[in-house]
Amino acid sequence: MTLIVVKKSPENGISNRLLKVALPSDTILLVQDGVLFAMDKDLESKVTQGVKLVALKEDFLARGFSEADSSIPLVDYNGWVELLEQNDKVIS
Amino acid sequence: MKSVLFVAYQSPAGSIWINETFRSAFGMYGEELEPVVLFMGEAVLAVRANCKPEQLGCLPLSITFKYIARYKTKVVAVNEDLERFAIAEDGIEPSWNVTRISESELPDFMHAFDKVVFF
Amino acid sequence: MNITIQVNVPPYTNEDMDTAMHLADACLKKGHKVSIFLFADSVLAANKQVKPMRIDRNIPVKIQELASKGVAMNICGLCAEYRGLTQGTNVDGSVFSGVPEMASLVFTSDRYVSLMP
Repeated sequence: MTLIVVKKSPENGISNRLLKVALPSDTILLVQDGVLFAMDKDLESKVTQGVKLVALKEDFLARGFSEADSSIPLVDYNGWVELLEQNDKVIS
Repeated sequence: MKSVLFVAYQSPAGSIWINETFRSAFGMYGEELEPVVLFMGEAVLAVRANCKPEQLGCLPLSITFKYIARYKTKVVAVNEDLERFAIAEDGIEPSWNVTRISESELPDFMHAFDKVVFF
Repeated sequence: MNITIQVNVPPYTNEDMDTAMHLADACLKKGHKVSIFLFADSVLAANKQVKPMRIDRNIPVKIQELASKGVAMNICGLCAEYRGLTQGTNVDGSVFSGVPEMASLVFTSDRYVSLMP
């Protein structure tokens, strides 16, 4: 159970490579420009099966999107803290 | 003993992150911590013997070599990135004492550390 | 839990310092012990002499508020001096430390979040 934080845009190569680091039961949290991955309706097919994907609501909305635009669940900063509590490691 | 992986992924020329990654890594020996440094993406350019940021007036990478030797800090580079930037075995600076890893091994490799910090 | 957030990039150019402060606040509210470690150019966030536009946020003041609420604000001292920030120009409640303190935070933190540069 590892939390992987992706903060760079999908246009940045490191972001896609971080997505591939996740193993089943890990969670990928998209923050900052990383939230742009949440527009991708096919995002789940780009990570290993069993990996949970979430995006930071504040960062997604601040970029002009509405909650309905996200293909994955959105969490707020409280949710980020809960993810830190639930996962025993962090890759960021 | 806890393990920590520092990952550098940005270019060694014009960005400070390779040097800062190693400065951080060397600082870990003050605690019961075993640091490993991983180069991925443009950061692998650092291992080239001819890679010299000092040509731009920037801090040389070579200032890390004596500490790598002293602490025997493990340095790992992603094979696919070395190939992408046409870095041949005989073009690698020996002071890095670099170990190769393939991209497909990265998930298990990273998960084996207690902490993983990207620079 | 002990949670550390490391910031690496300059404050008024990037979102990272804001991300760190929001996360630190949320961690505090849930009862966690929080440290922020300012590394490389992010140390500029602790310069109390900054003069932002009035409609913009005053990051050093926000840092000071977080420190008064219990967040341990560590500045990499070497990084600070490199950039002309000397002891006394940093906001109250922030302390000059360095890579040894970073090692201690890496060792003792239950979770270590680095906002990658």
